[in-house]
Amino acid sequence: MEFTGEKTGAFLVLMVSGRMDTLTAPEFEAECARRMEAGETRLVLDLSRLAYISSAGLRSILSAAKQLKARGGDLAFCGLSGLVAEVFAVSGFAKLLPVFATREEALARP
Amino acid sequence: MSADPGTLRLPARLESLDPFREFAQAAAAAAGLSPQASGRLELVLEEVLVNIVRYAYAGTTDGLDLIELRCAAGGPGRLRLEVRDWAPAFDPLAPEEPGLEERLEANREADLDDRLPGGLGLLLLRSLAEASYRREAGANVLTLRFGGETPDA
Repeated sequence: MEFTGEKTGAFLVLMVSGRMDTLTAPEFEAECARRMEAGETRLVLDLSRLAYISSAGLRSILSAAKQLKARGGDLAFCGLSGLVAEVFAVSGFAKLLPVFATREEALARP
Repeated sequence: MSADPGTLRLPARLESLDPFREFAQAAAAAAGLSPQASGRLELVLEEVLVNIVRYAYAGTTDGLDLIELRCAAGGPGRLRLEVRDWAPAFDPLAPEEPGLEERLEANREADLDDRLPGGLGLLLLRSLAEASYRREAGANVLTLRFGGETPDA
């Protein structure tokens, strides 16, 4: 999994590429921990280059969302497609967390 | 070990996930599965295998904790998988734990603070695969079908 961060106003957009599965989900948790330590509280995950996610990835995302919320921040998503979009829908995560079609929409929030 | 090209038997370890995935993806490509069905297969297979590694054989260290995967084409664009383990009987489609079904359903709609982190793998298995379970000759056998008519997501 690879991460590319881009700061836009109060938000940090994190482009996540590759696969988020049982073996790689800890990499995502470590990246989130690093960003939170650096003071980021409002994360937008751009998943347009994420090819795959399993329940292990969902658990890591849920954990990150809870930690950000505890810090007064939030975690939003954009660019979901294919299997990733299907997994978000089936698991209920698409209702649980703010999901936007585009990065612009995710950033156009108070 | 079997010489059947449609069968792969490996230790129940996380290290076996990648070889099982590659094996199943090759079978999916040979069977002409759609990208959508192929993605669901990959996901459901990971959930099932991780469950077996983490829970079914929990604490087993005798080297006999094996998982067997059989792939068989089920007609054009269709693939049938059989996942077999020799752990104590467990039906992932009908858990004995009372209330689990309700918890899984509640989980789907739960708020961030109420949400249970567990149960997601089973939820995905039941939602994205046409599955059936049987106990046979001391083994748990989970049959998964992909392609053709797909379950509603």
